[in-house]
Amino acid sequence: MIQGKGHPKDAFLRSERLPHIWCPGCGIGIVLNAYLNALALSGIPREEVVLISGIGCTARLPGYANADSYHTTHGRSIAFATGMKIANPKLHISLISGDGDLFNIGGNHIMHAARRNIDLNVICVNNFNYGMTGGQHGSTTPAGSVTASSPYGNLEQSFNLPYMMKAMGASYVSRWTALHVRQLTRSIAKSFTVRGFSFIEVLSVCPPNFGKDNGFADAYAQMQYFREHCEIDNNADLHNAGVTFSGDRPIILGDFYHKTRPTFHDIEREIIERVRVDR
Amino acid sequence: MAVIGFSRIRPMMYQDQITRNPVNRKHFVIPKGTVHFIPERCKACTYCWHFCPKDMLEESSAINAMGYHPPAVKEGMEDSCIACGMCETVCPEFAIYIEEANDRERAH
Repeated sequence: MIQGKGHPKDAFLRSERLPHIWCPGCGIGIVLNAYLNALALSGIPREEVVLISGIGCTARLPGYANADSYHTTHGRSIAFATGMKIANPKLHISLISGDGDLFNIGGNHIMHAARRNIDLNVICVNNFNYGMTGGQHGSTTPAGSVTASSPYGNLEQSFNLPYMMKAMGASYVSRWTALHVRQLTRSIAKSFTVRGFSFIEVLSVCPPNFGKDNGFADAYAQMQYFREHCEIDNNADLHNAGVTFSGDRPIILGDFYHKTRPTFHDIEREIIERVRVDR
Repeated sequence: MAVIGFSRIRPMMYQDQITRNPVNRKHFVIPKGTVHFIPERCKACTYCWHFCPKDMLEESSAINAMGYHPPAVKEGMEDSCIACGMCETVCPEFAIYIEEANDRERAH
């Protein structure tokens, strides 16, 4: 066996903090790996990169990246990022947070950030439950799934995140899983170049909570489900692209939507210039 | 934006079967790599040995400080690595990486 001296990504990591806190097989480490790959590909200097997160398992991610990172209050990461982007529009701001943080607690904020088309790169790692607090159901838990707080099956319909974000006015919408690492890396690299609100949903695994309760013996079993049941369709009808683990219909992945429109900053700058001329 | 690393075309292979065969395949070269492990970071999630397209990794009998069995290269498969980087990209723990060798073998 060849003992490695140091991982090539160690320059981008706070490697003294590794091994990280996530469970064996957790997809968040893969997302961090893909994000760092995308950052290296895009060639953006690290001084211009800011990572922001809220609260939750995924929100621990910026703590391991060797860049400016902010761990904000629960659900308010978007509000924090909005202020930062307006104060300094040159920054490349990435929000990496979980589904609970972005859509349950911070659902209102993400809706309005997409509506205003603020130039943020949002990566939502969706593990279908509140993993950190013990696996309670939330707005992204598929209907019928067993969780700690829905032992007889979740009776609510879940959010279809790409459909929702497209409807809210996002400029770029895509969805991948923690297994589709190369496509995910390309999507993140693309989102750095998109002017406007870009949203990437990453379907992830939660082996000790959601996975164990829903018939996946270990992390690999859920990844194998993604491998067998995912279909890539970039022109999919997002209305029917909800996630289900029942096995009767595929999980639709792809680069769904890319259409730029004036961002909040463009309009803001235009108004400032017009008002100055009027005086 | 220059996206490096994705431009190199390779024959599509899965478990030694060529799934797509370009007409100019003779001009391609198969890269070679060596697998490096950082066993003290490993949590034995099993992804690297399950998703290796050459099926050259396995769980070892060694135990690290956290009590997990880190992966190792299967005996006799030391030269099988094609430097696809799947284990490196799918590892959540930054515990495995590939170094690509400079010399390459022509496809045949």
